[in-house]
Amino acid sequence: MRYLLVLTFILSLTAPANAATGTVREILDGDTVDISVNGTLVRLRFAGIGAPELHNIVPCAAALGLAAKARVVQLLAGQEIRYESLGLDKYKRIIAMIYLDDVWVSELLVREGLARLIPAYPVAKVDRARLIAAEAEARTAHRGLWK
Amino acid sequence: MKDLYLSLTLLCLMLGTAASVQAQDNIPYAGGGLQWNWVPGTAPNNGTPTEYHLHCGTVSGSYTMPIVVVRPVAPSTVPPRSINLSQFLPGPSGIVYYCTVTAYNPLSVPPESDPSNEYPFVAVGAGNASIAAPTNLRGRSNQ
Repeated sequence: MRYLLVLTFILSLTAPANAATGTVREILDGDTVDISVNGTLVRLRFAGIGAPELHNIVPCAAALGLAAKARVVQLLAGQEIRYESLGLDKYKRIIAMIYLDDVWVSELLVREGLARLIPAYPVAKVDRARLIAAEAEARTAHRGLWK
Repeated sequence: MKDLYLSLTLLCLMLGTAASVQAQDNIPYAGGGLQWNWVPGTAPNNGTPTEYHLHCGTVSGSYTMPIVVVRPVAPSTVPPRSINLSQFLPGPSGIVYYCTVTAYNPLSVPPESDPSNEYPFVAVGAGNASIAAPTNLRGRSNQ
């Protein structure tokens, strides 16, 4: 089982772009989900963004964290998603470009003001530009984090 | 660099299970999907959209909700495009969203087509509907 997990994990890192799909099994917070890939659980960290932490000592930040998680649950719970791996983070999660119906979830969350662009999980330059534009739109419209 | 012109024909289908939705009027847009096709124009106006934008709002003609950017892997080769609105449009029971679709290519000038016709997306009684083509995405593109 351990070898299968490792093999799946390696394959997920080396698979060509757009080749990987999985079914969302659990939403941990606004930027991390567990998915099932051929029966194996894989943890994905959304590329390019950070959502507020659920256990923030600042109540309004924690509330936004809950809102972000609720939105991800509404979007992804039980859904078949497509993802592209960009590598691993320090917690051994796969940093992933995650798509639902060809919609990049990171960009959607940033545009809705439920997450923001962060450099710790870098994306390609063109995708970073998209996140910057989405964040600017959220700021202008005073959505979520930017109220 | 070629002049780019897109002619899109959109077909919108509300893919709800009408009977069950009507019976549960506290569940808005359950099973609702939005689907559209596109047809390219003829050369030299045969450019390709790289993405589609779904614009929605709760008031007709005022699309104040965050745009949903649909960026298909192969935007022009595998129609129809579709998304499940039950995921992308959160909202309280009974709300009506008014939506249009545009084609988009960042290298076009302007980058966005004219919008399709508006479709009111209602929670209950979802049936078939058609949505006309967004037009006039002109500009220059190397795609």
